[in-house]
Amino acid sequence: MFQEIPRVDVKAKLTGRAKYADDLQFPNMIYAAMVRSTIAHGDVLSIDATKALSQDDVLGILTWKDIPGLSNKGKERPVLVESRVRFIGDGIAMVVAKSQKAAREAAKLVEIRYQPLAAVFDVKESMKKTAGWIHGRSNVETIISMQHGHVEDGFEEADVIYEESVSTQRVQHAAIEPESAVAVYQEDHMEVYCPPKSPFNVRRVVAETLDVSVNKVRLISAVVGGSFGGKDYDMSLLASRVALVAKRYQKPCKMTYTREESIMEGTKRHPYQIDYKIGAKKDGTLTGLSVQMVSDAGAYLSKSAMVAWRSCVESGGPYRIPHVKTDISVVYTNQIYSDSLRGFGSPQVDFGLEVVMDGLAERLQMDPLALRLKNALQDGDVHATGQVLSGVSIEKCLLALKDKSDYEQTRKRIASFNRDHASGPYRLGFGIAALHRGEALGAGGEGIDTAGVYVHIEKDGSVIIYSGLSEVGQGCQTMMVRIVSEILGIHSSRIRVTTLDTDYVPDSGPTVASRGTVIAGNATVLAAEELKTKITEVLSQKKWFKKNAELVFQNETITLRHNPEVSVSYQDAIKMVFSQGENLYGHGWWSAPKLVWDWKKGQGDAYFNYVYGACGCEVKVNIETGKTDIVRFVAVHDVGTALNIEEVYGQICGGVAMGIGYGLTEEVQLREGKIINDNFDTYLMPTAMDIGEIEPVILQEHSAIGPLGAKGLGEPVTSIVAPAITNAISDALQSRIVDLPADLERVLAHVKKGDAR
Amino acid sequence: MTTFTLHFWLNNQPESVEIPLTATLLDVLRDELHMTGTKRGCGIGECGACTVLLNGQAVNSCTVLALQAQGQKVETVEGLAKGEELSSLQQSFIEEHAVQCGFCTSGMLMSATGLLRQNPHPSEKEIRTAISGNLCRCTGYMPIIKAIEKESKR
Repeated sequence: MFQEIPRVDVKAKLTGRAKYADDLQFPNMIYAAMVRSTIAHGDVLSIDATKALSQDDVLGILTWKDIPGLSNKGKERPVLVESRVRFIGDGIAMVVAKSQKAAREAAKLVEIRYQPLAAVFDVKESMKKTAGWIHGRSNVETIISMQHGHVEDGFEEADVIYEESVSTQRVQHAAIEPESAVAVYQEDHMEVYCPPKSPFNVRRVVAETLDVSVNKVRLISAVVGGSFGGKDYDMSLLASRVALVAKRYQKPCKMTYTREESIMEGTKRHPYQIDYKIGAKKDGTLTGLSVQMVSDAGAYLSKSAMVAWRSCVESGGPYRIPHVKTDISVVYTNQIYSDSLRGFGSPQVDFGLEVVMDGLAERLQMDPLALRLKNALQDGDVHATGQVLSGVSIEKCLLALKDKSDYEQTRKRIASFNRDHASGPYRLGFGIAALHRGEALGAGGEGIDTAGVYVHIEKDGSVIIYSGLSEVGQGCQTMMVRIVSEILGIHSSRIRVTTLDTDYVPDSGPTVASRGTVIAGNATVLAAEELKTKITEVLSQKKWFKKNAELVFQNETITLRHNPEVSVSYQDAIKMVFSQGENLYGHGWWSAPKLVWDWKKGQGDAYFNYVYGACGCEVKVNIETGKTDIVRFVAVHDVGTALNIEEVYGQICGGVAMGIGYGLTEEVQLREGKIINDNFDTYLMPTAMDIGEIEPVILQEHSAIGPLGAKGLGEPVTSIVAPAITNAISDALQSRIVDLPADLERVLAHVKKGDAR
Repeated sequence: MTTFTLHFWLNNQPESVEIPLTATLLDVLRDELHMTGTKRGCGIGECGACTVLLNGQAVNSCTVLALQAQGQKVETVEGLAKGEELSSLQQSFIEEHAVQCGFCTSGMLMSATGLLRQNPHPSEKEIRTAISGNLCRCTGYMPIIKAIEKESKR
């Protein structure tokens, strides 16, 4: 277990000195505000800006005609549309003014005339041949499949078949920081300040928009006020927009979205409709699984196909199932588009399968935990992708859950409460869920799952880490400090992580897929190891150094392993290196292991590793109001070696809270393509009153591939919260909830169903 | 545009600023005085990122008209530390790892400061109630609740 180190960025955040994009001020700064589509599908016929331009302090209006490079690429990146709008919120023009207020007020005065087209809001409608096409000649972008064994054989072998249709809703990141960006025009390049999740992607889109090479765009990260998968695609658009204005007026330009705009254009989690059919022997042994899914991509493609691929690969859960057939259709609708959101396709299939596992357990008259344990994957088992697994820890997670939740006693206590209080308004329930989740991008993201990190030791022995991995609040900077501190054996206070500036840091890829710790962490290891080698080379010229001797770097001292009497202080060693005219620049570049996926067969080695988790939730449901209180949430996660256990605790609690919102209250509600709950008074996220007691249980099964044995964590923690909650509510009401969210109305409907039984 | 001169106490220092009549306290802090520690998250008093103390009471500065602060005492996150030295509540936030992205942190600190002044030894339920107007999307609140609890026991 490592010593605790404080977050590297914590003091600035506690004193108000941390600068987020909207906090930045530049001399002569101008402001832009968006004019957005008010219809869901159609063509822009005319833009009348006469009124807007006559207002005080208004400087002008920009449309796609002012874009030197790409305005949009059909299915992708609508910086400003050329004519076709595909959802309510699509960017049409920008009004530029001397103040933000003037820009926003004038933007409301721009009049757009449209030629409306038929719009489609339902995926099943959109799949019909009669639906209006949104891109190309079909609204089905792709169908991705996984096929393992012969699913019909699996159903023939079964004693029991259980079928269920489930659905998940559209939710959003709702980071507390709304999107903001500033572009500062420089003579030979464009400087962009923004909170990016994928800084090098944002830089590329800005360059494509301005029609310049990427080295003419310099992205400097502002402090990021939360991402959760957001501030990626949408940040590329915002950064490109301010860059256009800055270029046109040769002045710094800022644009900050209101919360309503942030919700209008911020990408969402894909809503899914899933039909399950699962077969099992009487003793609970799973024999076959069919999963048929439709994903709502919304109006643009973004990463919808990659999200769908992950859903497909993980659709069999952490279970041994000999025959699996999964298909997922990715379908466009004229609604705000879907993209990455913490979990990236996992939460939908984890919800679906875990609800189905409970339904099957009921059908088999078997305990839900026993059913999961019976089928839990083991080392050497064949995954539904055909991959032979190692490092499988799902059974350990389930047993830890059993222990920490006091499973049997809890079930008994709840049953007796419900018996004794049958005439009262409250019912208790307990539910569980389990998951496996592929680490990093997997075979779907081949070639981009790489990271570079530089570590420099200065002449005074202090260290700077240069990384392109975005600190979005998850603590990646602290993680890198931990690794360098451990490898060089020096105190963490010697180490600073530099601001992410694309002019100086290497591309470490996006902060997605819970990949930061593993991918960038490994690059950090390599950089630090290179420094150790450089120091060792210089020390090996010393008389006391025997040939091939091994050095130990610990406690600010470098010692001979076989003769601990012989040592040199870290500080002196650094001096020696520099006095020899050598450098202490360390470079780390790490690529995820090669993976293969056979798209035709729907089989392959999808991920280089899976992580595992299990959780249990106790709820108290008021059957008169439909309100569900989370009493207790036990979240067991195998995180590998915890690099910073307090931060792991915080990641789990935060992930669970987000999952509680997904399970109970959150839903982006659309009417004819228009979001009707566009601020936090109507889009309801959990507060401190709504989370009950969250109890993280941290298992540390060493990873063979992660840095110092660590595994990724950010997304798995969110992915199985909702099914544990709904399984608990189903337990309380004796009626199975199969749709999200389990809000008041849905719970009340199930109170009636349960009574009827 | 009608303007007026706002005189008030900001973190125990007298402050005067010429502002539009319709400006909110948050507008004044951020846009006029460039005190950007106080954050704008929703603009309608729901997220609590803009929480400041007005005469010791935690308020959403986005829903308070600046003229309501005329002659009053306003405290913001910038006033908590003394130079380089953090307040003991800020220290508790470090020790309990109660900060992740940091965007809610200023508001959380101010709500907690307001609570602890009125009720130095709150129950856990009182802590949760006091910060229930402050949304946090990162921490799941647990580390923040622990930090405030720790501070109340110092």
